[in-house]
Amino acid sequence: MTGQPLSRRGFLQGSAALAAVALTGCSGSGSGSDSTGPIAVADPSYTQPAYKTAMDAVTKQFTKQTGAKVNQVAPPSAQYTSAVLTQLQAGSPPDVIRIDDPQLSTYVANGWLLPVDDVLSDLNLKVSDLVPANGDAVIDGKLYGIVKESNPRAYIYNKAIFDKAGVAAPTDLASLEQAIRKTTDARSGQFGIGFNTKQGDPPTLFIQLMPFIYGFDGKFFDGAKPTATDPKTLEALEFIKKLWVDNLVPRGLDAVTINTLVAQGKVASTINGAFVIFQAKTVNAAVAAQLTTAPNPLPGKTTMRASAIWGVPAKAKHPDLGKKYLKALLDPTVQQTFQYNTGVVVARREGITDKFLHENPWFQPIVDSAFSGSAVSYFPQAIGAKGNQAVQIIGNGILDMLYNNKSPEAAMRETQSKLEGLG
Amino acid sequence: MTTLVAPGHTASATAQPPTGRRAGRRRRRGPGTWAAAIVVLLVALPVALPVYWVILTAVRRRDALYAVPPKLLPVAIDPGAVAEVFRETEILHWMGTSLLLSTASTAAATLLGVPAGYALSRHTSRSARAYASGVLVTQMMPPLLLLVPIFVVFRESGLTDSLTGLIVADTAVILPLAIWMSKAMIDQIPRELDEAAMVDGCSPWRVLVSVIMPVCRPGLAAVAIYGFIEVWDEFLFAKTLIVSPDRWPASVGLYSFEGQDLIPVNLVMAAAILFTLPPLVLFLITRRGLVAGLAAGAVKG
Amino acid sequence: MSRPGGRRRSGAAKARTLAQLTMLGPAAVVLVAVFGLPLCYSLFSSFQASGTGFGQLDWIGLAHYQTLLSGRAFWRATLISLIFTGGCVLLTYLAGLVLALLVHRRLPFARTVQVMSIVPWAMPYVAAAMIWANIFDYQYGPLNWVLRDLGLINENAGWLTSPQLALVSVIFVQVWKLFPLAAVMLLSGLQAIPAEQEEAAAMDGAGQWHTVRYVLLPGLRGVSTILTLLMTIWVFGRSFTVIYVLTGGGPADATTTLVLRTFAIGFQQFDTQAASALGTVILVIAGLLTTLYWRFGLRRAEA
Repeated sequence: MTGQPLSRRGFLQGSAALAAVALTGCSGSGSGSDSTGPIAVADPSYTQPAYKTAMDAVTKQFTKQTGAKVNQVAPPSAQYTSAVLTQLQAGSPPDVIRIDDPQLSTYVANGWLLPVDDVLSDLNLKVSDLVPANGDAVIDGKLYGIVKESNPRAYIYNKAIFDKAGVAAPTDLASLEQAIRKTTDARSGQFGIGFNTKQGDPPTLFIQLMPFIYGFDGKFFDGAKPTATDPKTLEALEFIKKLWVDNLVPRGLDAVTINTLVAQGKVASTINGAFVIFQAKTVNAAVAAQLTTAPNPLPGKTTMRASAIWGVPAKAKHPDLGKKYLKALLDPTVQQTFQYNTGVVVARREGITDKFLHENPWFQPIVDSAFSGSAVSYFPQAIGAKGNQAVQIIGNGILDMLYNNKSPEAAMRETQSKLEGLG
Repeated sequence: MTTLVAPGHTASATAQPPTGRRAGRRRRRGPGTWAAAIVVLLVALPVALPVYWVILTAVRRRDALYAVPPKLLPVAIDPGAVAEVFRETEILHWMGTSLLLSTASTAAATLLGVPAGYALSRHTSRSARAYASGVLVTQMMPPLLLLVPIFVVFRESGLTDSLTGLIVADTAVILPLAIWMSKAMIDQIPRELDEAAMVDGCSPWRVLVSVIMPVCRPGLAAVAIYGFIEVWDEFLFAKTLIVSPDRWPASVGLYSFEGQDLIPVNLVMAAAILFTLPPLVLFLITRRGLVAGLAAGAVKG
Repeated sequence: MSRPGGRRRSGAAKARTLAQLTMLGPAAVVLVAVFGLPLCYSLFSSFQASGTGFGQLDWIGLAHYQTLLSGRAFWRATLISLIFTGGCVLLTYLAGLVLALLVHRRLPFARTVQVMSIVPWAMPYVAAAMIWANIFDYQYGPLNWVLRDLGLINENAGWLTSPQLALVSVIFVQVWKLFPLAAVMLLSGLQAIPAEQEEAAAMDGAGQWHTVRYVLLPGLRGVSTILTLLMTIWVFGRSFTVIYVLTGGGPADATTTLVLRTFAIGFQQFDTQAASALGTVILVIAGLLTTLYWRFGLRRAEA
């Protein structure tokens, strides 16, 4: 073949130029000015029809007040936390993100969130005017988010299954155990109670098991001091182990599958937020109609709650607009629309209408526990960012107890020493 | 007495292939065939039964999903799930995006990878070995750890939330295997072919295109199928680099069926089946191409 | 075969070097940009203190590695990773080889099975893992019920809930997903073996097994070595979704591989730096495995 006009040097120059163009590209950082948006909101709940209605109401209020548009950019729920984490670490987060209890202290410790005190002061509100769960978002005297939903736990059970088994709603530990036994029928795959026993999602495992721990007045932390071997904690774990060994609870299922089974009438009771009932309505109206709540039959005096807040990342492209989105959430009418459609406890008491309570009378005790402050966050906030490791250690300890057939004392002794090692 | 020739060398002139096809249709009845049939069955069952279960679950009525004992036969059916998938989501749009990504990445990876494999096959200098090892090293760390720096690299290049950027990333995902497989295939082609062509005055590129690649067709097809399916299924980079839901490929979109609190298993399975169809069709098409390449006497004597 | 003259020889050599560059260059650029730079960054961040921001500096040297290597969890995960990888690669290779041979020898229905096997291959990992989680389910899964109906077991087996069985189950599902790829690669390798050799063996009166052992397998050596090498690297350092969806690393860490640990440290404990250290260790181990292959496998293939 004849020689080519392309010389080696020319080739290298060409590729260097190409690389340079590729790297500088159009990398001018977000050219949109702060006051016109559109803003990026990331909450994966948006894919659920009820939440879509609720969030659209927020968006409408926001657009009315600012004229800016909103892009819902959340990845699917199962991918949400890791995707947002990546964006936060890389410095390109959305303008509004949803934060759950486990992430909050870490995000604040890393300086990834903006304080949003001015959102409340603009509305002449104080943190104490909101649901007590919002207090969890106050760290070092600054407020880092607004509660989008707070879900105190309730004892949810399927009345039809209970009636068929001839059992009434349990009122204490003994009748609870009896109810569970009578409504379990291995032959038809029906279980008296259900909770997460699958590894892989430590915060969710913790959320599902803590109601039992609290139900016996047990705890894993006293402030920042680990108390895994506390006698009441061990008592609670004995109870959990008994349910497992006697096959009264499905094995190895995650929380979402348990909820699905509740919605299909295969699991007779569970301790969870009221959203389980509302979700059930969308998949199986017949079963959903049978679901109701009863006062917590466990002896303990503490109720548990889990919350989700909306916050504004520090590196958001439109931080001021992001804050205005939070402000829109707090508008009383928006709160009512939100609450009515999703069935959660929202930040402002005014959001919970009499109409809703009339239609769902069993919701009243949930509201009460939320606003009286008797519901406590499940996440060990006192130890700050180490909370996630602690939660993983505790969860693994409990799973070790169940799957490796260890006694609660043995498993918790190990857990305790690991927790102490966290420092 | 014919000798068994070592692989990679064409047989001497004594052995003549009777026709383009392999020697006749010699059937040996007897225990061998039965043993073979059993083996086929043993491989077929673990493949077919779960597939059957997927299809059955996809069309199962929702309230029968967790029936005990599980209904193994096609009863309690409600094919509405498939329609629901189309109604509730943009699955066709997602699959269109996936198709674009897979095709473009596979083309790019073949374009970039086959020449690299050829170069590595024909040059065994130390730097060539270092290059080959380097290609492998890129695969040795869990990609989970690379997501943040990759995001930053792409952001600085203006390629986040763009399909072009994702195509570049996906090409990188399948390149290593494309390079190494090409190298392995080309290793089996004797260098005499190269040298003969170069004596005729062909440049290495010409040798690659006109001499080597026609012989490699089965290998190329294999690389192409692998690339397509790998990118089709890829979701880590997709979920990291793509922000707008309307640019989701189907691999990411599939996750959106998993609600926060509920999983409609039948919908997920229905979507999964739809998701699996295009690669299946592609495979059926390329299979014919594979056989056609062989029948044309691809392996030159 | 006359060689070109002196000046033209260097011209030809130059053209060859240029060809080498253009053949190897573009692939290198893509790989460096997408993997190489991020890899270097990950390595760099493994020497920083936990919680360091992106691009910032807080050097602590080998501290993460020390913590890592002195913890029991790491060694346990390494053992599980090795068992998982070994089991997957071996079984994937065997299953792929069997299928490739069946198709190559034109056995009845072999082609149908190969087409069917595209389904496990092309099915997204998430869906595949979900359906197997359902099949293996302790209380609702069809597998237990069928085995009990057939009288093969007396009570439900904990495919995913027994610490001993769980590893076997996840290996099985990973193999189920991977073996069609092995089959396609091996099949194309088989088809590259000159037909004359098989015919020669057949004319010699060689049986099926003999042909396989002495004609086909040697012919596959190159493809086999590279396939198993790539699979080892892939399964060891990247396999995640199968285990994560089926068992989450459980029951009680029975299936927690190094990759699962990386996810837990990086994305659940939010400690990117410690996770990067673990990732580097994974890379080193994978590198060691590769070197072993290089010594024993590739050299023989290239001989």
